[in-house]
Amino acid sequence: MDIRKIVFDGLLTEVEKPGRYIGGEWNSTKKTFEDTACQIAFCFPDVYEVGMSHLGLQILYGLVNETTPYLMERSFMPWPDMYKKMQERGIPLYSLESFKSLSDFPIVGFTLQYEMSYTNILAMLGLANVPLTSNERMNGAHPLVIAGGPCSVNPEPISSFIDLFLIGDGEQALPEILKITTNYLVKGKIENRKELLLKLSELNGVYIPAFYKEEYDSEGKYLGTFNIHDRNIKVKKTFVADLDNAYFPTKLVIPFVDAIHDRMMLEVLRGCTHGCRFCQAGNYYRPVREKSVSKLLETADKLVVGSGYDDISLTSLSTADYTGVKELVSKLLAKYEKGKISISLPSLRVDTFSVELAKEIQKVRKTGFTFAPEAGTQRMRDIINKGVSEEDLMASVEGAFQAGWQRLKLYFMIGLPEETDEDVIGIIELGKKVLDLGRKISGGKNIIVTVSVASFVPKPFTAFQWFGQNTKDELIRKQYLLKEAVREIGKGLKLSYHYSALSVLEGMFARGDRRLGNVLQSLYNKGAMFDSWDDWFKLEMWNEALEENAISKEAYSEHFFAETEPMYWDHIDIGVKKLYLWNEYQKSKSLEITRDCRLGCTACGVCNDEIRMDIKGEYHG
Amino acid sequence: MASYVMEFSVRGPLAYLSHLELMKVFRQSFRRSTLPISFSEGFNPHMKLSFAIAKGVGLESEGELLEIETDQEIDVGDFLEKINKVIPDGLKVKTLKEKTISTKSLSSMLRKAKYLLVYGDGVNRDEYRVIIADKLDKSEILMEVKTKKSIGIKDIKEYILDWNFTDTGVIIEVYAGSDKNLRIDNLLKYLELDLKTIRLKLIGDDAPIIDKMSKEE
Repeated sequence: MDIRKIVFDGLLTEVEKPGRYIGGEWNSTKKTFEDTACQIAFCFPDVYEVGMSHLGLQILYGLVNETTPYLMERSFMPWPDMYKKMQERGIPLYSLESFKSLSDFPIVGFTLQYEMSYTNILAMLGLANVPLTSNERMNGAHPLVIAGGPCSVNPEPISSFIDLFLIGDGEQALPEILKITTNYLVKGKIENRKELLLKLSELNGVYIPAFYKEEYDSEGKYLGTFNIHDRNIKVKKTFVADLDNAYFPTKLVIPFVDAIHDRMMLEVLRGCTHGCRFCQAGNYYRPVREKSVSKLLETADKLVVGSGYDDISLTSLSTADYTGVKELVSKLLAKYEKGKISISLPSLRVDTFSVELAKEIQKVRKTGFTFAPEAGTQRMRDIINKGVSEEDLMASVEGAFQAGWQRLKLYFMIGLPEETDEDVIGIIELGKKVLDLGRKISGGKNIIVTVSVASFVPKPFTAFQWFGQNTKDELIRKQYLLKEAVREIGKGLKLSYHYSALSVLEGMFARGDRRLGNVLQSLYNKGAMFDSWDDWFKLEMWNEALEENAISKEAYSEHFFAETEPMYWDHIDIGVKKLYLWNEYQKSKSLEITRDCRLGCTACGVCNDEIRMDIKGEYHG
Repeated sequence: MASYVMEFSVRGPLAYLSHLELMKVFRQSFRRSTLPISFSEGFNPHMKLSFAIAKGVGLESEGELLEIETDQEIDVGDFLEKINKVIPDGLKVKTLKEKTISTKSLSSMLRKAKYLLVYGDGVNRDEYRVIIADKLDKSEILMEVKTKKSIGIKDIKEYILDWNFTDTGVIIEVYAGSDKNLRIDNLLKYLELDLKTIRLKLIGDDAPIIDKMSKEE
């Protein structure tokens, strides 16, 4: 089938934003199947604009295409209008470079960024006529379906559909996987799949679900998931030890259709030292590894020349923590101001240092400013170990208002451990204080404070992994408390919150087990897709799928694990030790703070002879 | 400061870009080229670029026009080399002319457009010629056309200025621009044949706009 011809012969005039489906972007690879030994399709289980905003995609795409003899192409989840038409006309999901079906690739790789994208993974495999489950693919020349990214730390809910998970920094192991797979290709198709999997299982960071089996006692109580060859083998996360000298893409693929983050991304560091007890990324990406200012300036130069973008975003989990941030920002500004290239910081801490930094950068456009105090009361912020006091917040806010910002956004969570109604209302009280301060400073100008409240979802490999999520009714009750409190304040304070049903399902997957695979299969059969999009999420469909498989979402989301109870992700080792996390959980109950580990090791267990914190300069607190 | 008009072609998949996406491609390509394109003043400076007319999504073209302003005079050969090195495949800048008629915008000069309707693969060309001639020769061609608010009926015959057969299809000249404009997809809907459209030229009162950029000419 000539997919290219069918797509360009009329189909594209019938769908929204056809630019999503045409490929040919600047810097997209010119390598072909014919001149490469092994090929992988990087699949982002969301729409093009979201996937093309993902730095991980650009890193792996550049790494494979520029530095290895292999080929990486891209594929995204087609928007429902396109999906339906492709399904009706029998057009398989194709890659944007060679317009080949995913089923023609030896390897198909998905990134797991958020749990609610799992239904899109099945929808993408299905559209490409790739058998959905690992079992079905065991016989016959099917692609090896692999996955990585933050959600892979608890791979079990989606493990029936994935042949291999890559836990940790992808740039480390992916070229190895391609190299090994090449030896098992006959005419571009995998032969001797079982042997290939065995060989791949020797790599660090590789988890192959087929080699692990979950065990239950006679009463059906979960005992653990064990390697079938050697019970005690755990899967260890891979790391890039020297981030400064690691590959970083400077020839970004530039999307035609506006991406959500459509700018140069300059990763200044990986990891975070703050130790917030709710945060999975903070644990997953440990330890902190910084890049040097000189390397970053060199990279920025190449990015500017090669991309045509006019904005450089300094990305990381917490860019203000970067020890070279001041030097970097002032040098970038000096260098690029004339070329009308702006600098932006996507994530800021709640402190005056960050506000000063933002002031320096945003000399002109003062649109919005975002802070994340996460909780409304000091007690609650101590519980989650968010080292931010009300004084910090008010000083930062004061700085922002004085510098002329008029719109502030504050991020919070509800449903955290030990939360009382006072803590919930405290969110709005804090919002009110910020609003009052803004009005005072600006002299009654149109100040708008938006309070954005997410519902907390306990995640694996955090101090709160043992904690049972609030019930949906409890979350709704707390949202109503917020709503009532905001109503009393009136204009100027805006409130937004999440759809609770979605939070509960996210909670189910986050701390779920292999049995949830059946739910995903049922959802696929019903045509579920784009479930992280409120407009496409269909609650009835989910309830039916759960019922058909006799699964209670609450049994997962609301479950409190006991201290000694095995967890569904215990066979994965991300470096941070379980005992450390448990101690953090206990400390949270007594409002005990744990310091930022740059100020002294907190013995989380991640650093060792091979990998350690790598800071390039003096830490400014 | 100098003004120029460039003529460029759009072929293949990139025909599916929207007007705004095409604009973005040129903005980014000019940045990559390091050519001295002028920016507007103000808090939010943007490149000074303006198209003669928006190109419909899916339409290929051999003759789109873009006006640019530069900080200093540029060499045509140098310009073409630099820009064509950094624009994605499917776009090609064909010519660049200095624009010395500064008072008129490209869109205000636009009167007509020339299209080539290419026969689809495997169609019977003789048969097509007869059908097309018959359909275009009618004294009145009434069509339902969508306007912003409702559906109206329009006689598109008076918008068709000239047409001639070639080996591979038919070349047709129609009104284009802000006064009188025929959307070529409307004509295709009327013809109901397997034809692929390519815009060939954007034309002013008496000649292609690109040929009328300077006072001397």
